Amino acid sequence: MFLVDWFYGILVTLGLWQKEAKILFLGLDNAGKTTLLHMLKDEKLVQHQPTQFPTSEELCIGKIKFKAFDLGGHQIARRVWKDYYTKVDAVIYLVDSYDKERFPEAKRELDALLSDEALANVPFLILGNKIDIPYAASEDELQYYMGLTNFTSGKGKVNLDDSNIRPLEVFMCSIVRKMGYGEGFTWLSQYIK
Amino acid sequence: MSMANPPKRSPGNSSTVNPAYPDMSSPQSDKSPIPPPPTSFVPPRFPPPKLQQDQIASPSIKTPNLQSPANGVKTGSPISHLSTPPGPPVFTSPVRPAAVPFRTSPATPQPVAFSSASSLPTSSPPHFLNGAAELQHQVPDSTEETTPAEESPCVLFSAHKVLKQKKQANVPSLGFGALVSPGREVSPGPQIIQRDPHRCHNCGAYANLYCKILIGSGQWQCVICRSLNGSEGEYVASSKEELRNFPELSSAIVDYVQTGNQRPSYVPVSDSRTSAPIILVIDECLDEPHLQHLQSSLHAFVESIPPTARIGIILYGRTVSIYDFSEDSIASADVLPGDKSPTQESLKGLLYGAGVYLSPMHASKQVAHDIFSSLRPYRMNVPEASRDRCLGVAVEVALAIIQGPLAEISRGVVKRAGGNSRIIVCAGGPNTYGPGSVPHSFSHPNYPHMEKTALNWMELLGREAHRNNTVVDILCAGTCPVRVPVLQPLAKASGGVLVLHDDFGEAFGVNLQRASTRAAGSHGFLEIRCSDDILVTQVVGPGEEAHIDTNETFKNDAALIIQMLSVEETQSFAVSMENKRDIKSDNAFFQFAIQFSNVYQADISRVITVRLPTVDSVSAYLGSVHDEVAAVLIAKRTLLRAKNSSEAIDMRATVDERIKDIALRFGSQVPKSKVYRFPKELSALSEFLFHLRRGPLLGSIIGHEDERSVLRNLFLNASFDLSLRMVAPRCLMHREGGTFEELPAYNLAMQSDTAVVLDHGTDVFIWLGAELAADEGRNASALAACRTLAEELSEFRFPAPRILAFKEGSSQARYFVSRLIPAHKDPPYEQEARFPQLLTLTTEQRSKLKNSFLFFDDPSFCEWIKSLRVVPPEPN
Repeated sequence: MFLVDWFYGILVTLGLWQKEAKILFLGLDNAGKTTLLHMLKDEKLVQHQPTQFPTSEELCIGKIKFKAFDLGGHQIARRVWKDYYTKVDAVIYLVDSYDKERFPEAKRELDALLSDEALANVPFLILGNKIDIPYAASEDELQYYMGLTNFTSGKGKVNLDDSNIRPLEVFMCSIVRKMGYGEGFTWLSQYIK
Repeated sequence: MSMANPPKRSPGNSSTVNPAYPDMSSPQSDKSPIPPPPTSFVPPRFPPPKLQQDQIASPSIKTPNLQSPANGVKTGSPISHLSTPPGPPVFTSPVRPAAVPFRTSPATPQPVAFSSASSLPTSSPPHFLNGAAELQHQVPDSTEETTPAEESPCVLFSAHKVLKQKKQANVPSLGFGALVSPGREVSPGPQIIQRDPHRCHNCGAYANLYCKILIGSGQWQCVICRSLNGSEGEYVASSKEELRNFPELSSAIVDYVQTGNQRPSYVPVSDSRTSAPIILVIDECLDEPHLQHLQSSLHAFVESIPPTARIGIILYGRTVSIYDFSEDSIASADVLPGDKSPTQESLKGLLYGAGVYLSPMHASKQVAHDIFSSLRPYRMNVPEASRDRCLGVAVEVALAIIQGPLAEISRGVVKRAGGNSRIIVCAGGPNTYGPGSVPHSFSHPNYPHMEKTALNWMELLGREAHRNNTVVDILCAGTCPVRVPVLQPLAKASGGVLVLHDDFGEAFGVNLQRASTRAAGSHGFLEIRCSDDILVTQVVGPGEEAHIDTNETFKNDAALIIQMLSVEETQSFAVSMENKRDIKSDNAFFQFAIQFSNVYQADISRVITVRLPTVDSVSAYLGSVHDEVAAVLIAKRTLLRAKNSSEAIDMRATVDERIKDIALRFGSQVPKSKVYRFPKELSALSEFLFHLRRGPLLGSIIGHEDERSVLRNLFLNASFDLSLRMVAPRCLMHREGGTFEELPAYNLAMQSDTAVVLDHGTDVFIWLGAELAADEGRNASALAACRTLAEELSEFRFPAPRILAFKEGSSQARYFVSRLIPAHKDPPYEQEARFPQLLTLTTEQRSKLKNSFLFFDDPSFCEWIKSLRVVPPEPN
């Protein structure tokens, strides 16, 4: 019984309790997707090796299915997520905010996703991870480099139901410090029906 | 295979089949690493070689606490010895370039010329022991006191002594047993005996060097059942010394060879092994980049195989295309539908037609190249995972071609011709079409049922292949999930392996070649006999229990007989044993007899006899424990039960319980407290078990259960060397001057101004520190030295490991970091005790190292063992 309570505990915290959804974790390799998935699963910070195969991460918590895919690198990995999910309810896009050299690559992949018809109107939560490392980009910087300045839909409770605006917001976090992503999930949950 | 038989061995106990799996870590020259010179094929492997052993072993390696000379391989004297029949001429291995900085692997028997005119199956190159002999000379190993000459690398025991008291001996947390590698090359080779063995009329055991012999009458007493046997006067001698002339009475390992005329199919010519065909079964649904990689791997493959090798080429997608070698200008193929198994008529059309589907490479090499060049990428707009692939039907067709037109006639008769044939499947996605297929989507309403049907079908096909002496290896590559659970039974039941690769490039190409050239004897049986006080409780390895009634020949044959799926050089069986009762005698005896047909179809019986002293003293016993063998045995028993991810998690808990129990039973109580200290003698064992728990086999560092299940299947059958490396990685730090220093696999090795090689069996990683990487010149030479080392470490391993090099802090560096024991949070005195190399660093270097670690929750070795309320062992 303890386990069940505990799982629901996380969902309640994330605002996803009693919701049914498929959520994609996307981002370049080393952005923190697997670490975050496992953090959600058992609140333990474990060092993983890079995720090799695209089926690698599927995680169910309650009625929510999470799945992670690497983008970038070679062509095949880039589009492979489409083979698995025809319909997704939300995308969580992770960026390593310390790895500024790869911002252009991260932006390119994000742009491709945002213009993808299969993902039209799907809410996007962009998590700028690794802010625990000194000299990591700030939220403003990240928004700028991702080309999202003025394109975010607003934090807090914002009703976008009739607006035809895609919910999109940037939250900074440190998965290893267990901070920041909770707020992001809470924001995202209002757009998951 | 698993045979658990406490309390009593019961026939009919379940046996699961595991694929035969060699690792090739024992060098031999007929395995060609990429890119192989076309001439490198040295077929014969029997009788034993009389080559000079090259002794350039690792002159520059420093092994601080050498618990494991060369992966625990121990040898007797490296002096080669001559036996009859005469072998090929003596060759010295080519001298290695002086620039090579480090050799763990032997300075190898590179392609050795050999005399094809020999009238007997000729020799294989010697087995080199990764420099073990030399290392042993440098560092005396205290566990060696029990006559190392008696220990053959074919049989390694977890301890060199046996406890007399049943209660003390049968502690399952530690366990006692042996790793038996039936097909392993031995150097010097076993003595050859070309006559029938003397066997005990009562129990079937073989006469051996420990038998008491009455020289007057020639009678001998069996060491297993103590019966007195006659020798038809053969052992009548004037002195005991005279008896030493009988190889079986002077050597712990002998090979009885049947070269008589009763075997008409036995052709004692050197290239007869090449007559077994290889069929490549290739996925035609590949995208451009994958296809390009595959094509270059296939071209290199054709260049690597001996000209006499016969190969066939089959492509599969929605249909099966069988390529015809009779057309030498254009690539042409016959096509069969892929939606159902081939009909008798369609097969007859093929087999009795004019097409040539198997052709020796000396005749058809160019055609093969043309066929590979003609392959085209997948054209349609269908996602990778859902393309139609009739993999199952393609393998059925390949089997039919191997059987040939005579298949019908020979049905029911065991065909011996040609030894083991091979089918090598090159797959880039799941089997989604025809029999044995699964829907491409898991959300298919009937998926679980269809998966079950597919699993059964694949297993039956694998068994059918095995019946036809055909091994099916499945080499997968790419990012598309191949549905490992469905394909695994096919490889497993046929005695083959399934391997995953990142792409169809280098490692794939090497494995294609090593898969095709690895030696495989056939019709193997392993018989285990031991003193009546000892009970075999479990065997894990590539075979299943055979139910052969030998009682007509031997009245009380209590042997455990295992039928092997194939006889490959570096597979092994993990044999667990217990005391049936308190042992009264001073010694316990163990005899392992391996009967098989070698690649030339000579029938061999290899007999290995081991005598271990029995002791009352627990500390004497602990002192004789071979940590590495004990760890591998425990790991195999544990992995056998970790069939899926949730069982793997349960098994982690059993590792914890083991540690607690070993501490309680063999450790010492800490004064004035209730906690126990883990025994110092087993210090290395506790670290191996920690690696087991957190590494790829049981831990969570690899992403997907499919990957773990592939590793598990390889591991359960792997040789001792590869098994050990898969459990615990070996860490080698690059030093100035191109030498390497072996260090514990701790993250304290991540020193920014160095490069480190980590050998984890199926992967070898090269980590380049950021400071080093900043210095271009030093970085390049360090990287080159590390690459050379990585290639040497894995030169003869199968599957060939992936070798990756990356910089500190990069995304890929996580491969490396996740496999090292995180010790950075330990107090400095603990760190220094377990990782003494730290003491050589300056204060500045140490503080830099300390600040370089990221925070994670993984416990260190000490934290883990303390969390079990056990005091960590003092480091050795």
